[in-house]
Amino acid sequence: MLSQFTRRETLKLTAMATATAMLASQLSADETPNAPAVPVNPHLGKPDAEGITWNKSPCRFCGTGCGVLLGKKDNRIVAMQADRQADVNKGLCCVKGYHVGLILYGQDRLTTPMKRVDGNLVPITWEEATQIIAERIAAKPEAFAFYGSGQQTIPEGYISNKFMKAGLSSNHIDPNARLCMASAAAGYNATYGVDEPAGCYDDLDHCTVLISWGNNPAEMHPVLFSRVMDRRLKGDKVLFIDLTTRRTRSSEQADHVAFFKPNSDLAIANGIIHLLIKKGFLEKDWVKKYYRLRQRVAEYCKDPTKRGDYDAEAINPKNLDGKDISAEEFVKNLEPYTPEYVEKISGVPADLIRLITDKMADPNERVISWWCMGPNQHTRGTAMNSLLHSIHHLSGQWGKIGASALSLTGQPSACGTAREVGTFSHLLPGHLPILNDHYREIAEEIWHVPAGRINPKIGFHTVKMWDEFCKDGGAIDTIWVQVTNPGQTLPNQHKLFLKKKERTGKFLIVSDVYPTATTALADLVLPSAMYVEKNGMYGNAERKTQQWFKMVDPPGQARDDGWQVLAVSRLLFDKGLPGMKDKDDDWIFARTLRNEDGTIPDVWRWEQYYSINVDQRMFEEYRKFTTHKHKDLAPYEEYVAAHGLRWPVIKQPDGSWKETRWRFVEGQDPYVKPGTGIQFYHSNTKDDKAFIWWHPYEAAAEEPDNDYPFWLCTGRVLEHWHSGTMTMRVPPLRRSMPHAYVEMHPDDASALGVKSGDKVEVVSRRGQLALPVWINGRGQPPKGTVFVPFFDERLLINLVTLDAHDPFSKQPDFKKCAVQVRRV
Amino acid sequence: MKPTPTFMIPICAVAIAVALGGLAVGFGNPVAAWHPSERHQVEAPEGVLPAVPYAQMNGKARGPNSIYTSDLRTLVSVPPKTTDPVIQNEADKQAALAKRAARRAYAGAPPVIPHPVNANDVESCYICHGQGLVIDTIVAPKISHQRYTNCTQCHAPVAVGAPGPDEGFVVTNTFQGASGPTHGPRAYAGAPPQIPHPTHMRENCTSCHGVLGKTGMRSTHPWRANCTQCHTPSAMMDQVLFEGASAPPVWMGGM
Repeated sequence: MLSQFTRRETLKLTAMATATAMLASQLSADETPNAPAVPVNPHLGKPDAEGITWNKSPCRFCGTGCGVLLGKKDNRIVAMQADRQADVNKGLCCVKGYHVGLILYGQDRLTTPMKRVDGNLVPITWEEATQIIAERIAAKPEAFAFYGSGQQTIPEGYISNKFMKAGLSSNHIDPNARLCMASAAAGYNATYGVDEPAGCYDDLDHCTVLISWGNNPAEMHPVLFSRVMDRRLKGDKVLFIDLTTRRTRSSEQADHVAFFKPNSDLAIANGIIHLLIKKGFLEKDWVKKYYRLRQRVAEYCKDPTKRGDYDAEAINPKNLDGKDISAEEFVKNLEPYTPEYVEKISGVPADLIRLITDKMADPNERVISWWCMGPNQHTRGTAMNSLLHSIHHLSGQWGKIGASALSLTGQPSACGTAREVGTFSHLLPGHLPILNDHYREIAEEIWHVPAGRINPKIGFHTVKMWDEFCKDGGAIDTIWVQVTNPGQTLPNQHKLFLKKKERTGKFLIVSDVYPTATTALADLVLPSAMYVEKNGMYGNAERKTQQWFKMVDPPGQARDDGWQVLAVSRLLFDKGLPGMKDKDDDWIFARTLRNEDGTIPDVWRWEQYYSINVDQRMFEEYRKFTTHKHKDLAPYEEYVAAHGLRWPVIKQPDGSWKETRWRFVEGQDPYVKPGTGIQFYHSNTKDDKAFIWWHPYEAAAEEPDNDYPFWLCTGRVLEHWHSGTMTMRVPPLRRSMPHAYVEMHPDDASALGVKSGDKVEVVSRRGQLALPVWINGRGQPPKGTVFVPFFDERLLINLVTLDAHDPFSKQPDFKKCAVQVRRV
Repeated sequence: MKPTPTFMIPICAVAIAVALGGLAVGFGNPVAAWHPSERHQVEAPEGVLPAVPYAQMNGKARGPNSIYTSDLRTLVSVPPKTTDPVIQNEADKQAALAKRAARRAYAGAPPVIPHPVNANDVESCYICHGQGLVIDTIVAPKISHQRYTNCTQCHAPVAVGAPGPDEGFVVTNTFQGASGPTHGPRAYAGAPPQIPHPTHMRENCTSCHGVLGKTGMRSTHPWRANCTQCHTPSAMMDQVLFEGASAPPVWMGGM
């Protein structure tokens, strides 16, 4: 092996030889010394002067992954602090994080299993509850589906994934992350051949230009937003450009704000590529050396109302890779996207598109594009994500510190659990595609189950799963929901959720901590332990895996979600269901949990669940999957001893484990061959090249017309997280934002004759909802657009939204549909 | 560039003339400009609003709102002097702690904002809280930490605007927050008390303990500007780690 010094020298030589390697040299070890992982605060775990014992944890809410210290006294959480040793948030949280401990103590916690009898939920025992589930599954395993979450912990996601894919030979398991970041995952895969960002949050400390795409980070990712904006107070120059569909708190701090017409973000990105081509960027050495130009394989479905599974492209998931396009054709396709043409489509001034391109083309600038739900909840979400990566790769705003295309994440473990553990219907753990024979063999080997146990067919994705549950004669009879609230968060609620009421023989099982819109229709409700009432691990949006220990006991009979699945699995094994046996006719989790002396701890009995660390044993088995896609994880103890580690985490000659901050770049990513500078070693074309995409602008699935003249956009607010189940029970947060509303432009409101506080009805072709109007409030939509947040369980805006979705990611578009607004 | 519209030309001419005139006046009688009250006031004809002299423009209320007196500049009270004597008593201290606790879910939580705000504009927060000010009995405390760009990231305001009432969602929360310390420990009678709370995000002691602090929490010696000269913070509470530290040093054991 080359010494560190020699490698650096080699790199310098390469840098001189080609402009391409210049990108890599800017990320060399000289500039970014890889500091050893910060050791865990040694004061944790012991009572302080006030008798409070502090322990570390990642925040329970969004995908930022802030470190929070929780203080415990007398078996209750009594205080919180931002963790100063956590390099994500460096001692600062947001208002949700500062109150995260309060989510445990809503007075209506679910504390006993309940079964619906004559319309009412009546308490039953855990034995009865697990028995009911086991019987439902055993009777018709192929009609059973599991609906998980980006909030499941890594070990709990792993348990449910193995339970379904190894135990029931069923791939009908999908997470709510499908509604949240599936397009981001598809975009990374279409670009790199492997999921998740190449860069990390450290880029935010170095960028000189920040471009927001359909994003309101001041409210949705406030800690990361402040991490950039606070640099300005210290004298750094950061140009912030806000491309948005409505004026938000983020816009207030922007140097340039431009409103674009919904769905026209595709045109804006193409406008930038058009100008980059004019500047000669297609001829750059790095473009020729490291990238291929790609296009989609076939035409998309022309009928926008049938977007989703009916799209021609969706028939073969391998089409995500697309096909080559010649440079001539690439140029020809982008020729029409002049700044003036893009201005006509999008409303963004041509000069701003020129300015953005000039910044991206300037090698002295360091540009970050970041986005979240805007480009993801999009019927062309995969295309839009791919284009965002493309503008960075083409312009060279990639591979140097502070230059990156970063998809932000909404749930605490959408990356760690949904994407990495692969609780999607098309994935195995380690993000291994289930269609691949080789990966299925690997999984059967690790799980020690007979060859052919894993079903080679992709299961139902979220929208399909709930459609099959709700439609007449659908293939799914029973769904078990854990750690999410589909009765509030699925689009087009009438079709995908409420129809359940009209069907017979359907059975909904819900593990949750509070009564929700989902438990309202549940036939069986299981009380769950939450957050620090159990051990856990989460993975955030910069590939960082974080661990925490159980701190307090759950209330009443609430129990861990992971235990619930293990208990049912064991019951099915005892009943003799063949799938619950491994090759040796042992229980499929027996080898995973086995003690060193060969005995199997009986953790399926709740009293024994914490007799060992189940998380650790699940994690150690899961780790074996992670090396196949170079997402190597360290042993469990390493995460106990650190405030998070970003994968791949590689063992060093001295026995220590080192995280990776930038992937695919020599000197940073240990998997990059010395001398290559940049190596996309997971390339879809197996030639170490990433893809730069051509995707056309297309209209949204449903656009306003004479009958439904307004755009409806749905979204979030700072104080509430997800469906508000937790944050609406936190007094300081509810005090600040007690109620949902509809934002309107003053001109639209005056034309309708309504003022702030008046009630209006928002009506789509699918449903309607009456809400108070808010004019010039938190956000200010342009004329012709209304905005409604989805956090309020009394006001379900998803009765109105549509279920059209992206052909690859299958992620629905919650951001655009056509509505009327009527006075009530 | 577009050609200048013709109507702009006379306007420009007038503007230049006024500017030159002003310059001449400025050169001619510099003293008068500094003593506006001495200037001769021309009585306005009936029905005509008197013009405000340039020199008074900054200081004088005018226009249709001139009758309003709720101008921040006229409302701000004079803060206590640093030399004013401070008498401490237990009742004041308990009252101060109770008021403090009412705005925090637990000791150390970022306080909620007790009034409505235009949360989209950070500068409006700094107008009052940047340096702190007092209006009659209402105190706007100076921010206790460095400046940040997004106040409502951590401080939740009172709901304002359209969102309707809290009806239909009344769930109580049984969380009981840590009450926090009531005093700093002293090594011996008469020793300066140690700081009993974290100083992270509370670097500016005068925010609570300065002359605008609540009675009962105010320092008896606000003229001393270097608090940590005598009052020691806790490295443990401030989460300050020393490189390579793997266990708490022995001297921290008692904290």
